[in-house]
Amino acid sequence: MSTPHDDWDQDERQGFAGLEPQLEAIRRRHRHDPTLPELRAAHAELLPPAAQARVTAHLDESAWSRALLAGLDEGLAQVELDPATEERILARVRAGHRGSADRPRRWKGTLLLGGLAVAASALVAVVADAPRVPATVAAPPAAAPAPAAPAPAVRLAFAKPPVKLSPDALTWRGAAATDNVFLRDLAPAIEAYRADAYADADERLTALALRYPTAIEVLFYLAASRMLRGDFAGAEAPLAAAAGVAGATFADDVAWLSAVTRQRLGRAAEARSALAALCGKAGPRAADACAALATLDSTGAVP
Amino acid sequence: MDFEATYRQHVQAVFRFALSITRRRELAEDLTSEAFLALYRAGDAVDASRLPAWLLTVVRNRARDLWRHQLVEDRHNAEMRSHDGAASSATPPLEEWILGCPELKPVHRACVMLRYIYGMTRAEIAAEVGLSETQVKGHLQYALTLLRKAHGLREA
Repeated sequence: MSTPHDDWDQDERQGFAGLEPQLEAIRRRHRHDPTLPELRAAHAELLPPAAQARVTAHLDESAWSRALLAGLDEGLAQVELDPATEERILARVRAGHRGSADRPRRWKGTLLLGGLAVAASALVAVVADAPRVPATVAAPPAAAPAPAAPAPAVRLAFAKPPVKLSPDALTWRGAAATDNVFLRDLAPAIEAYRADAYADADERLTALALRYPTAIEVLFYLAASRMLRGDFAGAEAPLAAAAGVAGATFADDVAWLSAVTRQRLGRAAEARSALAALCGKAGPRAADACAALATLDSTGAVP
Repeated sequence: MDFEATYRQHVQAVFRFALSITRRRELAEDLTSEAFLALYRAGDAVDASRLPAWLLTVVRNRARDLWRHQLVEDRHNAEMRSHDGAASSATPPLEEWILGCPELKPVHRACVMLRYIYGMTRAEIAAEVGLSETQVKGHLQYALTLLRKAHGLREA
């Protein structure tokens, strides 16, 4: 962890004027935290058991690291594979080797073909005989041999959705044109949700749902509160209602929570279908959905 | 459905997933090609109804392999990173503000943390969070604006 103020601009220096001791204190507090790659890997459950347990325990305790992790995937929703890369990957697969000519080091010695002529002829042969995707089932290639054991029951994990508001909520106007009554009514319930007081949030949001039956914030955070209390059956109705009124701000979040709820309620095929839809499109929940699909598939929880 | 059609159908999701767990485009590209190569080799053994989950599992297994090797190399770091004193000191008001300011979205917080605590350049942050440098600059400016309005931080 470095402390480079050298490249700060004037705006930044002024913004943090007088706060340098606190910045230093924060750096000291977090100097032994897991690294960013470790946090990401733990989030995706990629680490060996001991390291996974260590970083997961840290994440359970550290609001700081959880907040850091929560903000790291913002840009992923915008990621699109450019056509040139898409073609290059396909060519690599077809040629049957794992490296490209401009990056020989990474894959040197692994399945390299003898030369361009061989590669070209192999490419032609493979293209001519592209395999069909078939009708039987095989387990995915495992990273390492694992002892045969019955697959554990899987419960998809989900993080507490952060609080946000739709454009409709921000521009809501009641009888008094200058007063956003909706936000005023919503505030205590959202504060309870923020404070992890989910029973209180549930009660308040249930009452609000009678008054604002089409307000996405009410329906969404009511469902989230119930899920966070472990009441997945109770979350279904508000999620179904939310799906009908969710705009762009909430649509993928609603779909994600719905998929998790279905999985937790044992409706694996429905969950898988919903997750595949989310995973297949660029959106804020694509990474979560893809990871969830991989989890379900690797454990055999979804037939 | 032939192989190329299957590839076209799923490559975006597989690549995005690979990128989400590696955050390195080159490595994500490698993992994506490995997954489709595995699919190609598996041929008739993979049911189309198991896609893209099967491909994503390959990606994750390969990434686990990489992490296993990485941690063997860095084992001493992992073991030395104890949490001594990390939680014992009082939380500075600035940290509470970063974590609790309701106007900050998760991405704003991450940008602030990476820039002012972890000492990254805007370009490095852009690579970490998958945004453009301009977007990162905008997020930081927004956070600085809120910081200036925050009361009580400087008296601490």
